[in-house]
Amino acid sequence: MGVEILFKIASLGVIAAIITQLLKQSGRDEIATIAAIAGLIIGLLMMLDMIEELFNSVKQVFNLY
Amino acid sequence: MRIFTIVGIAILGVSLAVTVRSFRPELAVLVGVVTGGVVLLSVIGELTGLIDTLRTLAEQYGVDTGYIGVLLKIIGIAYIAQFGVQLCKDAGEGAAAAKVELGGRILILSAALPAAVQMLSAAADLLGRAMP
Repeated sequence: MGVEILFKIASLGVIAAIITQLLKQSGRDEIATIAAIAGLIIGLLMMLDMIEELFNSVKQVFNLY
Repeated sequence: MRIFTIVGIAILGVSLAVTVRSFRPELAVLVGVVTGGVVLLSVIGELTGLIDTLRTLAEQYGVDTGYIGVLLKIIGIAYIAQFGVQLCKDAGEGAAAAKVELGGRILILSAALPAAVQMLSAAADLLGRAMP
Protein backbone atom coordinates (compact mmCIF):
# COMPACT_ATOMS: atom_id res chain seq x y z
CA MET A 1 0.00 0.00 0.00
CA GLY A 2 1.70 3.17 -1.07
CA VAL A 3 2.11 5.42 -4.04
CA GLU A 4 0.72 2.84 -6.50
CA ILE A 5 -2.85 3.47 -5.36
CA LEU A 6 -2.45 7.16 -6.21
CA PHE A 7 -1.37 6.31 -9.74
CA LYS A 8 -4.16 3.74 -9.99
CA ILE A 9 -6.89 6.22 -9.11
CA ALA A 10 -5.42 9.01 -11.25
CA SER A 11 -5.18 6.71 -14.27
CA LEU A 12 -8.72 5.53 -13.55
CA GLY A 13 -9.81 9.15 -13.77
CA VAL A 14 -8.05 9.70 -17.09
CA ILE A 15 -9.43 6.46 -18.55
CA ALA A 16 -12.95 7.27 -17.35
CA ALA A 17 -12.66 10.72 -18.93
CA ILE A 18 -11.53 9.22 -22.26
CA ILE A 19 -14.32 6.64 -22.25
CA THR A 20 -17.00 9.21 -21.46
CA GLN A 21 -15.67 11.53 -24.17
CA LEU A 22 -15.69 8.71 -26.73
CA LEU A 23 -19.23 7.70 -25.78
CA LYS A 24 -20.41 11.30 -25.93
CA GLN A 25 -18.82 11.79 -29.36
CA SER A 26 -20.64 8.76 -30.69
CA GLY A 27 -23.92 10.16 -29.40
CA ARG A 28 -24.54 7.83 -26.45
CA ASP A 29 -24.85 10.33 -23.66
CA GLU A 30 -26.73 8.11 -21.21
CA ILE A 31 -24.12 5.34 -21.46
CA ALA A 32 -21.43 8.00 -20.94
CA THR A 33 -23.11 9.02 -17.67
CA ILE A 34 -23.26 5.39 -16.54
CA ALA A 35 -19.56 4.97 -17.38
CA ALA A 36 -18.71 8.06 -15.32
CA ILE A 37 -20.67 6.71 -12.34
CA ALA A 38 -19.00 3.30 -12.73
CA GLY A 39 -15.60 4.98 -12.68
CA LEU A 40 -16.51 6.81 -9.49
CA ILE A 41 -17.69 3.59 -7.81
CA ILE A 42 -14.53 1.71 -8.80
CA GLY A 43 -12.44 4.56 -7.38
CA LEU A 44 -14.42 4.53 -4.14
CA LEU A 45 -13.91 0.76 -3.79
CA MET A 46 -10.15 1.19 -4.31
CA MET A 47 -10.08 3.92 -1.67
CA LEU A 48 -12.12 1.94 0.84
CA ASP A 49 -9.37 -0.59 1.61
CA MET A 50 -6.89 2.15 2.36
CA ILE A 51 -9.29 4.07 4.59
CA GLU A 52 -10.06 0.88 6.52
CA GLU A 53 -6.36 0.25 7.03
CA LEU A 54 -5.87 3.81 8.26
CA PHE A 55 -8.78 3.60 10.71
CA ASN A 56 -7.61 0.24 12.02
CA SER A 57 -4.09 1.48 12.64
CA VAL A 58 -5.36 4.61 14.39
CA LYS A 59 -7.60 2.39 16.52
CA GLN A 60 -4.69 0.14 17.41
CA VAL A 61 -2.28 2.94 18.21
CA PHE A 62 -4.66 4.98 20.36
CA ASN A 63 -6.58 2.07 21.94
CA LEU A 64 -9.93 3.29 20.59
CA TYR A 65 -12.71 0.77 20.84
CA MET B 1 14.51 10.75 5.96
CA ARG B 2 10.80 10.15 6.23
CA ILE B 3 9.89 13.80 5.66
CA PHE B 4 11.18 13.71 2.06
CA THR B 5 8.94 10.72 1.36
CA ILE B 6 5.95 12.56 2.81
CA VAL B 7 6.55 15.74 0.83
CA GLY B 8 7.20 13.68 -2.31
CA ILE B 9 3.91 11.80 -1.89
CA ALA B 10 2.12 15.12 -1.31
CA ILE B 11 3.60 16.75 -4.44
CA LEU B 12 2.80 13.67 -6.51
CA GLY B 13 -0.75 13.43 -5.19
CA VAL B 14 -1.46 17.11 -5.66
CA SER B 15 -0.20 17.14 -9.24
CA LEU B 16 -2.21 14.01 -10.05
CA ALA B 17 -5.31 15.54 -8.45
CA VAL B 18 -4.95 18.77 -10.41
CA THR B 19 -4.47 16.79 -13.64
CA VAL B 20 -7.54 14.64 -13.02
CA ARG B 21 -9.66 17.58 -11.84
CA SER B 22 -9.82 19.05 -15.33
CA PHE B 23 -11.34 15.79 -16.63
CA ARG B 24 -13.37 14.40 -13.74
CA PRO B 25 -13.64 16.53 -10.57
CA GLU B 26 -15.27 13.76 -8.50
CA LEU B 27 -12.29 11.45 -9.01
CA ALA B 28 -9.89 14.27 -8.12
CA VAL B 29 -11.48 14.32 -4.65
CA LEU B 30 -10.69 10.62 -4.32
CA VAL B 31 -7.07 11.27 -5.31
CA GLY B 32 -6.86 13.94 -2.61
CA VAL B 33 -8.31 11.61 0.03
CA VAL B 34 -5.91 8.82 -0.93
CA THR B 35 -2.97 11.24 -0.75
CA GLY B 36 -3.91 12.18 2.80
CA GLY B 37 -4.44 8.54 3.75
CA VAL B 38 -1.08 7.42 2.36
CA VAL B 39 0.75 10.19 4.20
CA LEU B 40 -0.99 9.39 7.49
CA LEU B 41 -0.39 5.66 7.09
CA SER B 42 3.31 6.23 6.48
CA VAL B 43 3.77 8.16 9.74
CA ILE B 44 1.40 6.35 12.07
CA GLY B 45 3.96 3.63 12.75
CA GLU B 46 6.21 6.22 14.40
CA LEU B 47 3.50 7.07 16.89
CA THR B 48 3.60 3.67 18.59
CA GLY B 49 7.06 4.22 20.05
CA LEU B 50 6.12 7.73 21.12
CA ILE B 51 3.08 6.49 23.00
CA ASP B 52 5.07 3.73 24.70
CA THR B 53 7.51 6.38 25.93
CA LEU B 54 4.61 8.46 27.22
CA ARG B 55 3.21 5.46 29.08
CA THR B 56 6.50 4.56 30.74
CA LEU B 57 6.97 8.22 31.70
CA ALA B 58 3.52 8.27 33.28
CA GLU B 59 4.23 5.04 35.18
CA GLN B 60 7.56 6.44 36.37
CA TYR B 61 5.93 9.49 37.91
CA GLY B 62 3.01 7.57 39.34
CA VAL B 63 0.32 9.05 37.08
CA ASP B 64 -2.76 6.87 36.78
CA THR B 65 -2.54 5.06 33.42
CA GLY B 66 -6.31 5.41 33.03
CA TYR B 67 -5.81 9.11 32.41
CA ILE B 68 -3.19 8.38 29.77
CA GLY B 69 -5.72 6.10 28.10
CA VAL B 70 -8.29 8.92 28.07
CA LEU B 71 -5.69 11.31 26.66
CA LEU B 72 -4.73 8.90 23.89
CA LYS B 73 -8.38 8.26 23.06
CA ILE B 74 -8.96 12.01 22.71
CA ILE B 75 -5.91 12.39 20.47
CA GLY B 76 -7.12 9.52 18.29
CA ILE B 77 -10.61 11.01 17.97
CA ALA B 78 -9.11 14.38 17.07
CA TYR B 79 -6.86 12.74 14.47
CA ILE B 80 -9.71 10.95 12.71
CA ALA B 81 -12.05 13.93 13.00
CA GLN B 82 -9.46 16.23 11.45
CA PHE B 83 -9.01 13.78 8.58
CA GLY B 84 -12.77 13.81 7.94
CA VAL B 85 -13.05 17.58 8.23
CA GLN B 86 -10.22 18.23 5.78
CA LEU B 87 -11.72 15.68 3.40
CA CYS B 88 -15.09 17.46 3.42
CA LYS B 89 -13.46 20.88 3.05
CA ASP B 90 -11.40 19.67 0.08
CA ALA B 91 -14.58 18.54 -1.61
CA GLY B 92 -16.05 22.00 -1.03
CA GLU B 93 -18.64 20.87 1.53
CA GLY B 94 -18.13 23.28 4.40
CA ALA B 95 -21.42 22.39 6.09
CA ALA B 96 -20.60 18.67 6.32
CA ALA B 97 -17.12 19.58 7.58
CA ALA B 98 -18.65 21.69 10.37
CA LYS B 99 -20.90 18.80 11.38
CA VAL B 100 -17.99 16.36 11.49
CA GLU B 101 -16.07 18.85 13.63
CA LEU B 102 -19.02 19.21 16.00
CA GLY B 103 -19.32 15.44 16.25
CA GLY B 104 -15.63 15.15 17.09
CA ARG B 105 -15.96 17.81 19.77
CA ILE B 106 -18.94 16.07 21.35
CA LEU B 107 -17.12 12.73 21.40
CA ILE B 108 -14.02 14.34 22.91
CA LEU B 109 -16.13 16.03 25.59
CA SER B 110 -17.87 12.79 26.45
CA ALA B 111 -14.51 11.01 26.68
CA ALA B 112 -12.97 13.71 28.88
CA LEU B 113 -15.92 14.41 31.17
CA PRO B 114 -15.35 11.61 33.73
CA ALA B 115 -11.77 12.75 34.31
CA ALA B 116 -12.91 16.39 34.60
CA VAL B 117 -15.59 15.47 37.12
CA GLN B 118 -13.03 13.53 39.13
CA MET B 119 -10.67 16.49 39.08
CA LEU B 120 -13.42 18.86 40.27
CA SER B 121 -14.40 16.55 43.10
CA ALA B 122 -10.75 16.24 44.13
CA ALA B 123 -10.42 20.04 44.14
CA ALA B 124 -13.61 20.39 46.22
CA ASP B 125 -12.30 17.77 48.61
CA LEU B 126 -9.02 19.65 48.98
CA LEU B 127 -10.85 22.96 49.60
CA GLY B 128 -13.09 21.30 52.17
CA ARG B 129 -10.06 19.98 54.01
CA ALA B 130 -8.19 23.30 53.87
CA MET B 131 -11.13 25.37 55.12
CA PRO B 132 -13.40 23.22 57.22
